[in-house]
Amino acid sequence: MKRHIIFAAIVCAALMTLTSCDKVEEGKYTIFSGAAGTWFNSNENIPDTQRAFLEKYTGVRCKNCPEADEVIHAAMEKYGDRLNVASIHFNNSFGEPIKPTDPDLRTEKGNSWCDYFMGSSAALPSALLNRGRSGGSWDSFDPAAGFDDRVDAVIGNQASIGLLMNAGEEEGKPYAEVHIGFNRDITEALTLTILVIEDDIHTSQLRGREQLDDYQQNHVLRQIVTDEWGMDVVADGKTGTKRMVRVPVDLRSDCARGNCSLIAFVSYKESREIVNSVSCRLK
Amino acid sequence: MKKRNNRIVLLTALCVAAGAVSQAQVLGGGHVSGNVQLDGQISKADSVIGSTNVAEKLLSNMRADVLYTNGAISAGLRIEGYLNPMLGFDAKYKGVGVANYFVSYQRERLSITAGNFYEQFGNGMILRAYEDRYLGMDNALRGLSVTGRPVNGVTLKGVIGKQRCYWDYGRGLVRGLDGEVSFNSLIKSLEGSKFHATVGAGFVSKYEEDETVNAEQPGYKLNLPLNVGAGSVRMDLGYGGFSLQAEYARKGQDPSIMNSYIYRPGEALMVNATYSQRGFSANVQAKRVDNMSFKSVRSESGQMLYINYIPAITKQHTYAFLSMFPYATQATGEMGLQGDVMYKFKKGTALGGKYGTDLHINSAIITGLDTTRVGGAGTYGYNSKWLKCGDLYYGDVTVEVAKKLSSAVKLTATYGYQVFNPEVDGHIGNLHHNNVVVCDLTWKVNKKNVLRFEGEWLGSDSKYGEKFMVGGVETENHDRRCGDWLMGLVEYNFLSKWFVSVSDQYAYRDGIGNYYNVSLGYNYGATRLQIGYGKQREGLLCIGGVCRQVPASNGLTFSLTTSF
Repeated sequence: MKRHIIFAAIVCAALMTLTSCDKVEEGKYTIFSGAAGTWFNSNENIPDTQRAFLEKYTGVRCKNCPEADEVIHAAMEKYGDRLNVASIHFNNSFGEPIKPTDPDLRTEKGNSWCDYFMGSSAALPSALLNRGRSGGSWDSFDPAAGFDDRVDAVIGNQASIGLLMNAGEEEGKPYAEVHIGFNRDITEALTLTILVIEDDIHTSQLRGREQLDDYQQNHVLRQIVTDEWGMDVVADGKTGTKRMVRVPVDLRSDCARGNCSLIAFVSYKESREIVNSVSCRLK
Repeated sequence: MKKRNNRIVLLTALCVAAGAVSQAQVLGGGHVSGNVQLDGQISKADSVIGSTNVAEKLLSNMRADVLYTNGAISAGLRIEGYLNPMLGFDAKYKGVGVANYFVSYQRERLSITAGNFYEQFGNGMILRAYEDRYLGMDNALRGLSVTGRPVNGVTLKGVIGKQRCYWDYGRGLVRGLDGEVSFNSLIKSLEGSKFHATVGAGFVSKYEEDETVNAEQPGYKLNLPLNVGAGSVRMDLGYGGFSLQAEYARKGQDPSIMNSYIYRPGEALMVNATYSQRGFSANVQAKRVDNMSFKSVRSESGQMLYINYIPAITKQHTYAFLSMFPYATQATGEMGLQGDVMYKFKKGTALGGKYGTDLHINSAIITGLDTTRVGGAGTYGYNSKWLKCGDLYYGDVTVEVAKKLSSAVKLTATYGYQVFNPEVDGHIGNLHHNNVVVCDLTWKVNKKNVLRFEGEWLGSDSKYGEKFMVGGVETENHDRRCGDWLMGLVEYNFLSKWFVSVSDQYAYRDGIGNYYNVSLGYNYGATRLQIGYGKQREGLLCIGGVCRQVPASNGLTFSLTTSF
């Protein structure tokens, strides 16, 4: 009996000692709360660069889309970080993967955008720049026909809102930190939308009459981190106000993180027109 | 609640069956014993003393403990009822149910208890599971307790469980181990020696799941330690009439609501030196406590779920005015010193007279720690110099002389001086300085009749209604303990069964209130019934440095206790 009691006590003591007291290192007493949607004042210097956001509606079975990709690629080369692009593959007959082994590039939230802006029978390729309107309708256009004049018109304006985005990582999880600076008074409600795009995805793709088996898809919308219609921007909207929010990015498992970037844009909540956008690589 | 009711029915049925067989009689070779207590209260509004009407008209607390013992096996349960809780007891107690049950196996070398149990390691600075019905406090552990005594003089204890929190249990899991060696029992040659030595060490850990506690920095939360450990070492050495006890405890990072979520480790040291011989004893106690509030739920701010206990070193007074400003131990940080001397002047000497005279002097001083703030939640909190005192919290000197004037008359005269920081118990204002004089005369009329007179005076420099700036806001002092007071009490115990007492406390200057009380009691064997009527002053009830706020009341109280 004595031996049993002593042995049990030693085992218990060893277990207690080894497992029962956590120590938090100095400097790590606090961690980011991961509270998406919590806004704070920002102290960052936020550039007032006006950028354009092109959302291109496309599909792997869209025969004319590769042609538009070439035009878009050229525009991106020309405008650099002042043009942000997302290719949205959506759920109509053009979007279905050609081969069963091909990744499905369609997303539910991308479908919502397409249904809303293009309708269910959209002619592809089709694009919006900053979700501008023409008359009472969305000003959609064929990007294959060129759109430099549209980009010039957008970025030629003074940015009413400046944007800055940093990507970081905490405990192995990426996050996006977006800073917004108001360059003029804005009374309308605003929303912030953050999305993940991925480059260098290889799929089958129709082009004209041929089927390309190894087509490189770039700036493909992979997920929308926020609600597809964005999260509310909590700010008084007065000139000089600077606000920030940090949003964790729960990256979907089939994305190659090294090929991914983040795009954030601020839009008017009611009209959904985009005010400004910004992008950065996902670290 | 349904589950609890089922348990009540089942366990009550067992008890009733047991009780039906006998009261404290044989039950299948076993033995049933227990006790019952019922307290009740009727109180009505009195704007002067601050009491309010009780909507239920009658409030009551009751409890019944039943213990069944059969050889090495014992089992017990306690039924508690708060219908509804009496004034000063937390409303979360409302209801009736089985608050405590256990089964225990006890042999010379091994004891095992499953269910609810109470336990203490050393002075309790890292673990003390206990209950006090008058404080409305019960932090019993529900789980398993094992005590082993592998050889004489060596005791090993292990506990695991969750703590009671009203009718529920806290989410924190408490684990603990303790070992103690008594050399006088372990080493045969030391048995019966003038020298005695005991050493011990314990370790307690609590686990609590993560939660979101926002840091001061926007967008950040605290990186909380899920396992918090506390350990202590202790010794008790003695030779003849001299003994020295010391215990040092240290606690790991434990950000909680009690310490404003800081990451500073806690520590406590307590030293107690005593010398005693026939007719004389002296005792000195010192302690330093730094951030040692240790609870099994980090967000619990009330009285419940304390894992540990910091012993009080101030004298626990029993006279009304001496205990009007009791000191509540500040587990978050304090340091103190207490000295106590008792001397008996022998019979036949000038001061001893015919029957001898007892002199008792006690003094204590408690201060805060001298700290330098580093930051708030999510920081180290503060730095503190070990031997440097902070603000004064409490100090007192009490001199008591007890003398038998004749074979039937005994007089006890007490003078007390107290200085008290009202902010310690949530009041405002400058330091209170109190002078208290108590005369207690007991006349043993005959073998069965005793008459006792008590007169008290309290002079205080504090003033009711005085205005102070608190946080930039002008705030009035509503502490009803303020002022100069007089008290008289007459108590008559007759026929060894009955007692009646009449008392009145009156604030005659700078205070408020006239608190009269009439009380009648009857004892019959193990049963005691007491009925009282009068006014109760609001204040603090402290037992061992742990306090409960007692609101003012005005009306009838009654109490019935019995054991079987």
